[in-house]
Amino acid sequence: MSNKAIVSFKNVCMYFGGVKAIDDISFDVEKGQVFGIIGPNGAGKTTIFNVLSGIYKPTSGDIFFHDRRINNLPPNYITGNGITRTFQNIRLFEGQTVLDNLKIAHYSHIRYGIMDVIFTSNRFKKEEKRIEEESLAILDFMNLTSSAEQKAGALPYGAQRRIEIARALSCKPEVLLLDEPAAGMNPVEIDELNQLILKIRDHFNLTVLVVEHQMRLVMEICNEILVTNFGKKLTIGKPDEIKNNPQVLEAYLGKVK
Amino acid sequence: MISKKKNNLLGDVIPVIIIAVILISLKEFKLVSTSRLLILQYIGLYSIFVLGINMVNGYLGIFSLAHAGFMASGAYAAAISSRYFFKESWMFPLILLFGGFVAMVIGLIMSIPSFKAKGDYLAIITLGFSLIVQSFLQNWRFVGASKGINNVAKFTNIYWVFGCLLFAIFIVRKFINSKYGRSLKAIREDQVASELVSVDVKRAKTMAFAVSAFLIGIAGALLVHLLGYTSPSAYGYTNIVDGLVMVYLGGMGSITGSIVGATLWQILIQTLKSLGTWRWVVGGGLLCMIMIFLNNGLFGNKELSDAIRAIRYYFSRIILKKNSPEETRK
Amino acid sequence: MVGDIPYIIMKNKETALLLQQFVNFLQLGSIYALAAISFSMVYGIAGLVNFAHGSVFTIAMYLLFYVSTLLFKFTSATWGVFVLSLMIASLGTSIVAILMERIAYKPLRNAPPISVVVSSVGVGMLLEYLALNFAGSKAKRMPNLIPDVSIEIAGTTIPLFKIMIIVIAIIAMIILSLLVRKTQLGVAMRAVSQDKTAAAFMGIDSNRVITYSFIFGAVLATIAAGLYGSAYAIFAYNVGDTINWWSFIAAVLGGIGSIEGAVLGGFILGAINVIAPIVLPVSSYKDIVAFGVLIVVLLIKPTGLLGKSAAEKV
Ligand SMILES: Nc1ncnc2c1ncn2[C@@H]1O[C@H](COP(=O)(O)OP(=O)(O)O)[C@@H](O)[C@H]1O
Ligand SMILES: [Mg+2]
Repeated sequence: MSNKAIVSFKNVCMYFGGVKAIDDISFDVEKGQVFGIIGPNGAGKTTIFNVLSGIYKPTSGDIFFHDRRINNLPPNYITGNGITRTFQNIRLFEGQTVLDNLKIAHYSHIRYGIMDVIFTSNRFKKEEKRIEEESLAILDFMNLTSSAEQKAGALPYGAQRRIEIARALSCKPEVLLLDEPAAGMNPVEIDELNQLILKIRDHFNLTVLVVEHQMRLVMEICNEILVTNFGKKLTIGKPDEIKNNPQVLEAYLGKVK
Repeated sequence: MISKKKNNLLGDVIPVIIIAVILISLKEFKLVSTSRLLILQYIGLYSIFVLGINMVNGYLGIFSLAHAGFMASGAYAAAISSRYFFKESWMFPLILLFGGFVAMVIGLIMSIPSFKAKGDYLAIITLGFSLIVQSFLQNWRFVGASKGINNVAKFTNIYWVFGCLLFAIFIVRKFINSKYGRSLKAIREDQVASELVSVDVKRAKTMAFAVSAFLIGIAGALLVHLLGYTSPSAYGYTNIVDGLVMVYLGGMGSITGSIVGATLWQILIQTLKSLGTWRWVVGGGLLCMIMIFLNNGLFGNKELSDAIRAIRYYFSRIILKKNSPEETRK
Repeated sequence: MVGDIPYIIMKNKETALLLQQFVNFLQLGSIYALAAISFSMVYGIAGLVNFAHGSVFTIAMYLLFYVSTLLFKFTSATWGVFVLSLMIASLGTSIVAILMERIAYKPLRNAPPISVVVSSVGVGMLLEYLALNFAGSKAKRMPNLIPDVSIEIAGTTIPLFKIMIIVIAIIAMIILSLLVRKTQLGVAMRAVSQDKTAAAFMGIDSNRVITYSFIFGAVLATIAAGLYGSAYAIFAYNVGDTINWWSFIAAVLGGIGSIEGAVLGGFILGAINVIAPIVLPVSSYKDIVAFGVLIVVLLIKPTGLLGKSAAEKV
């Protein structure tokens, strides 16, 4: 493992009965990168995020975050300690306001206990004020301020995608996992999203892992790309290397046209 | 946000004073008959009961039937404590707290199955819990087995009931407006997504069950000391359905709804008292009808303050429109 | 169970007791299994925890009681009365079940899943107290529905009706499993229980299948009631509460929705019911033991012994 790696997979396998969703995958992600994961549908990309965020325990192999093995940690712990994600199918708390969606995600770093709540202690007031300000700042950054008091479920698709990112940022992650953030976007929107991802990375000092089909996104902004097929690692490399790799062209790009 | 604070204080203190004045005049100047006063006490203590149920069934969104078991635990614990330890009337707060705490400990244990088991399974587990508590009490000689406990000191009066109700409202409101309350609502909508934005689901569930059982236990303690007796038969299916009707009538996840639900149902069953056992036929039918026609209860998850705010907003819009048409275009 | 003792001829006390207990276990187990299947089937197909299940059972008990009492006035052919009253009672409970489904459950098919469960709690209450108001709170005694003859096995006299109960229950289970496996309706039922949308694409009318599942459930509950009434003649309006509770536990233990699971759960409960009173000081602690077993199983396997565990896809 290189010392710079912030996330690394070591021979990780994830089987569902007979389905080998991930089959012996290893890779390292360096701090500050935008790391792309591509592959045809059902290649196991989402599953990589699922084991990384702790919802599934890998069948075998190890996952490291900052040299710490995180295979068996519960998802809320992993999320509260640096790795947060968005979902391929948006999963916002639709009945809550956008602001509340963000406040919920602040959970792990709010420092008050039940007694502070009951007696409305100063610490309670200070923390509530802090998370409100921080949430508003994130909304401002994501250009969502005007929807702060609206119900998340009532907003258009594009806004919901951005709210999911904003909510993930509220957990104060070091690593952000984006699962198909550009799904259903046109080229202009994708270009905007590219700028946004880079801006977020620099502003919040993040490492970004992104699963995406849209080559326009992956080839533009990724420093390194992992190509998967049928749960296996096909290759890993810089965008230019991937673009010209005949194996990849055959397994993936060829099909997409 | 900050400027609203003073307003809130006024909004909280004034209703409390008004309620106190009304209660004192009702009781001390005998403005209403004793039976009416009794109904008021039922309304108050069942409101606490419903607030408790609402923590789990409403805010957390788990379909639990454990409330009969919690109420039985609180009622019996309180009755035992007032018989053997806290015999004086000034010790009543201790009795109430004792009932609440015993129920809370049991609530903490009952939260464990909710970590893993899902919806339907959990409904059956919690039903099992309530029935087990009942069957346990039916066989426990020390508490009179199926005859129950008689001659319990009648410490409860209308001040205690409404004092406790205010306390319950206070606790629920604080809890709901904190990170814990927010996490309950998040879990209700999507448990997996909650875990993946760092919410500690186990802790949230534990707390919801604890607060729920605590409040229900206090309601149980008030009930025994109001009636002066209790028996296991009071904590079976009828009690479970009673609670569900009130919660779903008023609305899941609403403080106002809890109180409205308890008030309407208590008034209804007290007026229907002459119906005898037919009232359970009415109750069962009503529960179905609420679910079919009134999906979210009377208040849904809204509060009275939301309604007031909406009305105020509506009128301010009208005024704004009159004054500056350009402003509203934005 | 106290009533069984006179039946034993004390030749060899140990074997006699053991055999008697074994028969008790089979008898109880098969009744619970039937009741649990009836509950589990509706769950599997309609996707509903039907809290009114026990009340359907109660109604079956009363119908059997009234019909058979009436029939015994005209004839003393026990088997004839048994079959005829089972049929009439099944018709009655089926109508109740269909009405229940149409009025209280169907309008809620697109509502949040909890609504229909709450509604079923209401229906259960309504039916139970209707029964109370019409039949009164006094306990009734079911006439003997199965000829009360005894046979001798290994020097122990075993009342025939216990064997008959077991045999009838097993026949009912076999018929049901044939229905589910071999008939078109059975295939449709399995399709709906697995995937409603896919079933709809295959041209299966899931509403019709759901109605049938309620009818099957009602008939099974009626058979269970007939057997229960033969085993324990005395009953009152709240007999369904106990059955509700035991079939819930049996079904959940085995994994709700699974017929094999319901049978397994039923027999486990039968065993607990027979063994617990022998081992424990107070007989009613068997509820607590059964509940404890349920909790332990669910903590280890949240979907019951034979239930399919499905990890949530994200
Ligand atoms: N919880 C699960 N249970 C069973 N199979 C699963 C589960 N999650 C994913 N799979 C299977 O694993 C494979 C990879 O899925 P996924 O990671 O979602 O692919 P994608 O690359 O499109 O995101 C698929 O065949 C999928 O059906
Ligand atoms: Mg995917």
